[in-house]
Amino acid sequence: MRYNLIYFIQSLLIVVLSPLFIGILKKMKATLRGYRGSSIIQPYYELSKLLKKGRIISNRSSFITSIGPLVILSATITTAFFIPVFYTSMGKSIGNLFILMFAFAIVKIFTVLIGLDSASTFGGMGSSREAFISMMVEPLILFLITFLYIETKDFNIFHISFINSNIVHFDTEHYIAMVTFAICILAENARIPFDNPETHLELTMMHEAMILDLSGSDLAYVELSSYIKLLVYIIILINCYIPIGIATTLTASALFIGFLIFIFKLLFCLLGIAIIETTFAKSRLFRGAEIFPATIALGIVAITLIYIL
Amino acid sequence: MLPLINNQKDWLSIYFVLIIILIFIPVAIYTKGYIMEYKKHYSTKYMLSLIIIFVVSMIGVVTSDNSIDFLVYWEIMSITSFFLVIYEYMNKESLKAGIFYFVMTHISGLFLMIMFAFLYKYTGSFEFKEILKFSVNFSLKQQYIIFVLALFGFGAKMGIVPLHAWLPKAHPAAPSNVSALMSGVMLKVALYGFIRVTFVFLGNTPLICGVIVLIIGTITAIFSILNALLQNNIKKLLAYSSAENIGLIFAALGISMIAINYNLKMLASLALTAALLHCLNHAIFKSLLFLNAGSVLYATGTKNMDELGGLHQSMKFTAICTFIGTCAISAVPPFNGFASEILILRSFIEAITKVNNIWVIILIFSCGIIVALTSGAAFYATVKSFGITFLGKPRTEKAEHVKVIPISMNIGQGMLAILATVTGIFSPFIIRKISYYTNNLLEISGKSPSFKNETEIIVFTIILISITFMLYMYNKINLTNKKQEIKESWACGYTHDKPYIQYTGSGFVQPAAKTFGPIANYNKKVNLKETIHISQKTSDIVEDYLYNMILKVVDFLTTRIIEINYGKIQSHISYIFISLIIALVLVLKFV
Amino acid sequence: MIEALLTFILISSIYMSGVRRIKLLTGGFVFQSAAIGLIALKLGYDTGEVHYYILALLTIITKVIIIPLIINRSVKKLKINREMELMVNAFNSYIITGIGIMISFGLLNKSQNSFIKTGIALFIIGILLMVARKKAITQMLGFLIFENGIVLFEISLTKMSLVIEAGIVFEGLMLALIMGIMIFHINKTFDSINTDSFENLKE
Repeated sequence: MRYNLIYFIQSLLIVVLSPLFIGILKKMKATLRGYRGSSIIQPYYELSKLLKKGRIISNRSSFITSIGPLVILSATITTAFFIPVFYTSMGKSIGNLFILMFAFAIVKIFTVLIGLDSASTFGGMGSSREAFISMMVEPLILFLITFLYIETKDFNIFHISFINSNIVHFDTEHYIAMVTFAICILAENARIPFDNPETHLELTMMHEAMILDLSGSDLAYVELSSYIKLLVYIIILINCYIPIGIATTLTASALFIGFLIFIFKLLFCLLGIAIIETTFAKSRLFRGAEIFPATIALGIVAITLIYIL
Repeated sequence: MLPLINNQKDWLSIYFVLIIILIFIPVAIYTKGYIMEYKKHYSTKYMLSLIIIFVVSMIGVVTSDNSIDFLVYWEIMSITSFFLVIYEYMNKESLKAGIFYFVMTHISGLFLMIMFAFLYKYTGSFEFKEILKFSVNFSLKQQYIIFVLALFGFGAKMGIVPLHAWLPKAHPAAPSNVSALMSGVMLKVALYGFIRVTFVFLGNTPLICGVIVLIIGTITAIFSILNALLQNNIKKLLAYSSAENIGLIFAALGISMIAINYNLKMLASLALTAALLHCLNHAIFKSLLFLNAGSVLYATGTKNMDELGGLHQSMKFTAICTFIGTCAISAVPPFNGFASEILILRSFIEAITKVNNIWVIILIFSCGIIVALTSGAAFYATVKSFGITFLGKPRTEKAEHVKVIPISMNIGQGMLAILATVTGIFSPFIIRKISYYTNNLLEISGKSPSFKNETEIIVFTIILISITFMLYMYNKINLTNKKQEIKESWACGYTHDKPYIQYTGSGFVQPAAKTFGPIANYNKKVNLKETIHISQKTSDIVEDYLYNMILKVVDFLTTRIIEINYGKIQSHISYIFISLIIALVLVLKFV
Repeated sequence: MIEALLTFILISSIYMSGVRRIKLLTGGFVFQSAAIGLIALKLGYDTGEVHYYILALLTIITKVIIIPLIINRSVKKLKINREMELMVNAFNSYIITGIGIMISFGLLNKSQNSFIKTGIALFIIGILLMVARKKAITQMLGFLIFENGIVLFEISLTKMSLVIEAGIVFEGLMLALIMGIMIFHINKTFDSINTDSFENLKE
């Protein structure tokens, strides 16, 4: 497993710069809605404010709340080291898609249990809705892996982005599969129309309900991990479906161009999320859950079409 | 005829003997402490001797090398497990569950006897080696007959739909260590029998057999896990979850059989390795979860998770072991459920690309979607079981006054938890070893298939642990001068801190109950008289419709038959004589 | 280009099988008919035959402009705009649509013509909307989708006659007009257009 220095650097960049990109997302949403909004580096200030405070633990919480936020953050950082950002190559390396997708199960199980740990109604409500939605998201992850395997015959994400980077013109089913995974991103990261990440009302909470009882450094770890998780999902979407322009050689010009194109694609995806958050409203739990069979039907269309051609 | 003299030195038998012994040692240590609960009313020597005979008979089934030995040990296994299920005979429900189990296991024994009789008729010998030599010449009709009989015979013991109705009744009724043995090991012994008959004896089966196995496996998985979601009894939830995992193994076997038919040997080896690995992993984590349920029952006296809660303070070690078991069954890396789950999914995905019949591809694809849904639902069900029982606040009196658990029970659980972690982290080596043997079985020469992807799990674990350690150090340094208080839960400022504001088990699965309710006959009635009264109940629809229908038919027939001249002794003697003549004629004609 | 348009037709049919609002259903239908018109235009451009152009023109005029006008006028007069209770709920409708698409693509795997496969998928959606919904407007839209399927089916045949095509298009137009008037009268007499309550007509 050749793990170059450049892989290490590019993943470290993601971990360090993720609050900046979330700040850009919030600024885009504010601009679309017509107000000025907070500055781009506001999430850094919030994280440092939370890290300076003390902790208050519930008298009914267990070891889950003690080690939970740590393990959530470390699992998310570990997944950031498993994906290509702006440089990829075909050598033997880590980055199996199965391990990547199932590593998020560590995050899920701890978050759901932290919700139940606080012995309050809101925690149970958030946990039950989150577990229900994540049960329906599993077939979409299977579609991702199946589609990419049919196209490139490989399970390693570095190899997939290398193989796909030579192709400029994709077929329609490629974009349909991209839409399927985009809906999976919205569901897993608690975005509209499944959950509203800004409110704290009990009717519209899912992710926020589960971490309601955390404070201080625990809350900082979980917030940072949710930022990194959104970014990792978007990078998987970009590098598997539209990896044009990614650097495949170690020359300085290729790396520079790859970095610029990556930033451009990332900002474009964040703009897409901002537009969806501004135009749509959060749907009821069961109306939102109806989107999943429609997406499964869409995925069936995509995989059927790739067999015809 | 004794197992020690003429045993099978086949790798398949040795693998299953390993599974049996690996599970038996922690369960035996656990039994030493658990048996104290039964000292007052029942006899403990009786249970210990029955357990030893049970385990010896299972080892005998797996290592026997001719049909007669197999059937004798199978019968001993069935009878001892029946006596173990009705061990708490003072409880009427246990007796009913035990009798149901007794009938089903003898139905399976009947089909197995017929199957071995047919094997004798086709090959002329009882020895497995001789049957193996002659089995390559089986015609299509003979293969179908053996396959159907094996499916019913072993299936009734494994718990596939529709022969599964005894599973959620018998496993909760038995004592917990017996449940762990039955659910973890006995179901695998039935799987061993099925693999021995279809893969070793029959070899290349027609396409329809593989398709049937795949469909039955998938239906078992989705039906059982949706029933498991809606249960409040911890052991019933775990019993349905066992049926779901058996369904997954069965589906992987189905893909392997389809792949053999299309001469795709690499894919068949991959699917068979996935099935065998999941046998081992499921045995480990299911026994662990049943032992934990036994600890909870010992400490609090109830199995209903709606009455429990907050047990993590008084039963810390059990809570950690249950947490490891929950992580293992939900396919969380780096525990062992993850390794077998990705192998099963991988065999589904590779089968889609390699098979070239469009209908088979559509079938495998649909079953793949349903298998993905079941793994998500397994996460939901087991997180409910752990979270409602152990976390939060105690919901009733029973969860507050907790008995101390003897140390031997803790040791038994701890051994299985460590085993679950170790088999998870070192799964690439186990996979390599198993695939070496499955390649030999399917006559593939050369190296094992490209399982090099799975060595990444060790790298993943190392990176995860190192980053966790670094963060832990940082956290400790960060919190040196800051205050840490322990107060009541905030819960948006709600001040009345009662235990009933928490979610109950049935409330936790309410979204799934509303969407998937009809599968489990979910009935919710709300009475609005002076007090508001909500009652929810679930039942098994296969049992309600299929079994009750069969019982009604049998009832009808027997009432009709009784009316024919009941009482005269001459008519009874003449009936016996007539049936003897018919049996003689049949035997002379067909043999 | 044609593949992309056929995919859009399939996507719009998946979308239509689960929405409740009549306006969204009409929007999906407009999208689908526009895609069929564009396919006909592209085919006419490729082969240069005149009747493809006429077909495209007819489709676009009737199904994209006139029929949605009629439906919107009926909706405004009747003041209903969504279907509350579906007989087959949205969850299961989507699954049936997905399975239908898979089976239709599997049955016709041998033929190279993708128009037939999409046509049969549209048949299944049309029948689903006609059978599994209660309001008469949705059932009418189901029939119109069924007709779109027939148009696609026909495009795939090489010898296409203009007369048959014109006949189908005009029949669709007449149907929409008549249904528009009929629904208004039904509503005036019975105060609802739930076809369930038609059973009350028998004594």
